[in-house]
Amino acid sequence: MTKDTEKRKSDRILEKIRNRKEKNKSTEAEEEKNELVIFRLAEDYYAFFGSDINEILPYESVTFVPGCPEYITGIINVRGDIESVLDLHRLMGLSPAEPTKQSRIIIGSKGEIRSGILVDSVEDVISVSMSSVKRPIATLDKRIKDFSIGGETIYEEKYVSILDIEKIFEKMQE
Amino acid sequence: MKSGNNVPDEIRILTFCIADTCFGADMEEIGGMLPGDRAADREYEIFFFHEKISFAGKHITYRAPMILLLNDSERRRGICVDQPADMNIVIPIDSIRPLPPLITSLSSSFPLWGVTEVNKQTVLLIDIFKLMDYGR
Repeated sequence: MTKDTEKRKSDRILEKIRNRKEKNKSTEAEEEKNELVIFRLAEDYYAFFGSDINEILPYESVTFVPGCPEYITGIINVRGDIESVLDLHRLMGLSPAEPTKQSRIIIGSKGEIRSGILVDSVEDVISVSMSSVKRPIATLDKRIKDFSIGGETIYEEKYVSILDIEKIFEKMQE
Repeated sequence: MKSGNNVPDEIRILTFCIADTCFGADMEEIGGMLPGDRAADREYEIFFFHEKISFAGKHITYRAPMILLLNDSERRRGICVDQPADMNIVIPIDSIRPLPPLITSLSSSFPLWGVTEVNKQTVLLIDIFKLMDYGR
């Protein structure tokens, strides 16, 4: 049937299968993973990329600064550095909420800009592959769309809109 | 006390609080003080502090109003604040922190310019001359 030097059909098939498996393995290894800081605003879940977040602080008293737009709650002193604190509720046009024990101030930075961002709670920090980030539903609220990276993921069976900290800072400087 | 380039090593401030926020003004900008009941005095151009900068709808009351007269040779004007808490507090320049960029980028004429701490309380440093020209 075939020469001895030629591989048997079954061997060739097996080799192909193995190669495919190896290729899949390396693709998985190369697939970009990102950390997400998942937080809650009212009843909804949102996230920032972990690479944009410096630290997460428990809520502390914020010094009011007059003359600022209402979405700048004020300033805090973080080990000698003065940071502004943004209220995402107000910035995104959600109903204002009083801080609670669960409230957190996420310190984020992008380029030269660094600021605290007040959220209702931080739920988790997870690692996700970018392939699991899907395009948001078409009916996503425009107020959220304006600050979204254009993707969302699922956390504990809930949709999580991934927000772009740069878009938030840009909005502040408009 | 001056160092090179005419930048002082320290400033002396007067502090006062309005709506639970404490402010500090450079004593060099203040030429005198008048009791609050002289606010209607026509000899001076006088504004209440909250008329010059927005307190985001907060209700502002002055328990013991006092008018700070500007050290201004050209115009006789003053700003009405609540009773000064302290005067002549020495603040080393090194202890002053700038306001965060998201706040300073709001306006080039923003009258608040720095943050310091007095008796463990955050004090916002205000340029009274800039405040007088600041539009709400």
